[in-house]
Amino acid sequence: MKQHELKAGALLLLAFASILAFAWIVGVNNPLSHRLHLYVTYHFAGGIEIGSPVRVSGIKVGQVDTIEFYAMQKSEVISNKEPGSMQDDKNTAQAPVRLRLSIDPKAAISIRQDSKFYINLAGVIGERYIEITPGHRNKGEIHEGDQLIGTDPPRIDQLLSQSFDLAGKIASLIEDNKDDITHTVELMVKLSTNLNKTLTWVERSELFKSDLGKLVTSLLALSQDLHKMTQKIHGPEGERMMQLLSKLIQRLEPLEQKAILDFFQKEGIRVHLF
Amino acid sequence: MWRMLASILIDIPHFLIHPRRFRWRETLEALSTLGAGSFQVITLATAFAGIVITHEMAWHMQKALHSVAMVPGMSAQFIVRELAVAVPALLLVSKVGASLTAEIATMKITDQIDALRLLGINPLDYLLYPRLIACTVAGGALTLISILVTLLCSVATARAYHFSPPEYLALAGHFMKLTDVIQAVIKGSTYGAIIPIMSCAYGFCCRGGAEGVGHTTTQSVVASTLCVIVLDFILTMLFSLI
Amino acid sequence: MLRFIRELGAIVLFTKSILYALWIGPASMWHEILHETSRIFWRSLQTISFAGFFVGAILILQFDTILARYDARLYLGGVCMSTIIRDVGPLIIAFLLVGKVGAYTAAELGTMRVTEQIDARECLGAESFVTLLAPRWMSIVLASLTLLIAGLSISIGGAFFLALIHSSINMHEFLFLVPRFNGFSTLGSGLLKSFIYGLLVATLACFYGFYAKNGAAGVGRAVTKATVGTHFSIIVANYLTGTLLTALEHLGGP
Repeated sequence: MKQHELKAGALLLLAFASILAFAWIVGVNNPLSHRLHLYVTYHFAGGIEIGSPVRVSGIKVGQVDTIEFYAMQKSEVISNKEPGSMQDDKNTAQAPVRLRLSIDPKAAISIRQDSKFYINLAGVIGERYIEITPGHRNKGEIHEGDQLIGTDPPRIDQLLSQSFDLAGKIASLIEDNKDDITHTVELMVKLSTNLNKTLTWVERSELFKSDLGKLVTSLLALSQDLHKMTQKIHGPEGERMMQLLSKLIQRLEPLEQKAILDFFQKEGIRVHLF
Repeated sequence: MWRMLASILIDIPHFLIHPRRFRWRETLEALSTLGAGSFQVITLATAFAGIVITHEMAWHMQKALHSVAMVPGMSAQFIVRELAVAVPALLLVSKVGASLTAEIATMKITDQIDALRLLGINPLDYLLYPRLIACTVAGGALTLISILVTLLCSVATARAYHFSPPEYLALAGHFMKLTDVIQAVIKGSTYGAIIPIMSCAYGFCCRGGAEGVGHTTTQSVVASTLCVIVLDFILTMLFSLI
Repeated sequence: MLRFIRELGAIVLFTKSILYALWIGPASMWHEILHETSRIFWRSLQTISFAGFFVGAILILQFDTILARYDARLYLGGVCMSTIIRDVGPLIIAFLLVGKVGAYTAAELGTMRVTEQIDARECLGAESFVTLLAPRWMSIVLASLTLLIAGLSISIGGAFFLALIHSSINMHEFLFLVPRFNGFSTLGSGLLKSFIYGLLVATLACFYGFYAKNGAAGVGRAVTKATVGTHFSIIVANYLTGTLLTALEHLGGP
């Protein structure tokens, strides 16, 4: 009987152990099996941590495995510049951050050599993740262990400090030229009051109104006359006259060309002015 | 039973202002048997609970935020505030409460308590107070120990989610204050104190042979468990108001 | 260690005998089982619902403080409900069930053993496993499952109630994220855990009660052993089922 009990107990323990082993195998193998590893370098990896998600077109496909400080070779130069990111010459000499990403190979098909690796913010608590844009079809596919260059996120802290600087400069400028500015403003105020006075005077004065009326009517008559004249020129009479003129010029051409041309040019100008 | 409980509760202040009723030897003995006897079971059980709760938190975080970034903070808080306090207390109820009630009930039905009275010894002095003090101390201490063990297990489990131990502790440290731990210890001591009081109240009222012992033990365990749960609610409510 | 393994084995063999007795037992036994189940259910319902309400309330209080620090109260309903169903709810309610049903059964059987009622029955030719243990075991399993489900529902009600009055959240906010967290996996996990806890309560209570000895003190010891053993094995079972379910989810999911 005791032998039986011992056997049964051992069997139960074995069953528990096998459950644990099964869970361990599944837990260890499943997420890590068939993963593609990429290395992405950054100057500034704004808050990325180990385990931060990696997304392609917004879908989670992997995570950040390791973060290491990686001494870059002299020949390598990071080329893509983003507004706000620190990309000075002195910075390229420093050791950038290298992240190792493990990515689902199914998603890796759409990642190409020209894909961009942005660092984005998401969620209510603002967790960071790496967003990979799908690359162009013609570019080469990525392979296990490839080294790519990440797009640095805009450094909010630097942007803030820069804008703060700018604001300070503007403030000091205003502070320095306080008198000039107040003077200008005063002048502008005076000018506008004068203009206002003039306008009200114009509005009120009867004399100006009647004069303006006369001026307008005469201008109208003038434009009507001009209109008639141009119509005549465009009409058949005008055309005939032009033809006659051109014939005259052709005939005169073989004669003293220069003198005639000069003469006509002068006359022509006069005609135009007339 | 209620009358017994009331008389015990009335007697406690009397005991507190009369230090001569305090028995060193029995108290230390009770501390070693009750505290040290429950130590193994509680440590092992809370260790398992720590592993499970970390996995559960990770599952929730994955569902809610699609990230496990907050697992250390959440699980550490949950462990310190609730899990490492309630689970040891409930285990202590079954381990200490049941055996205490059974012992006292057996003494009662075999007329040993009446014999104590005849010898001029107050049975409360002999049976209750040493255990009350021992359980209060052991409750606080076991809560501290189980916080430690559960957090350790949680740290170990969090490695599966790529949190190194220093990282876990740094993240958890943001959300844990010393007051949290102090509140946990206060809770643990309170639950520890409840157990002998309930056991004695039920044990002294035991009647009717072996059957009575069984039923008394059952009732005492149920009542202590309910007390722990209700007190947990009240204390949590109080602490959340502070 | 060897004694521990032997005890485990004895429990396994004990369970096997009970299952065998259930298999060969007469059809009238099932009638008795149903009767007993409803008796246990109604006897314990009050205690379980009382405790269940407070379990839900405590969890809301705790999660409210934790989530308020992240300013993420929107998740309160979903997270709290799935924690209740998946993990903490079955655990704590099962703890109470151990005292209410398990210790009661152990005390009853232990008393029968030490007052030699069991021996008397066996002398009269009644097979203890068929007439005494199997019906009791089965009815405890069924009653535990139903009680745990009832307790879980009530604790969800308690959580809802306290969320409304304490944490300044309205009904829609509470229910908003509930479906996201409480899918098939949560319900399945809660039910599986409840069933396993019921099995443990029934088996260990019957085992320790049935093999009690040495008079009144022995009954007390049997009850203590049954409660401690069940509490401990519930926590271990929680761990094992949790691990297994996580593994299965990994296998099934992405």
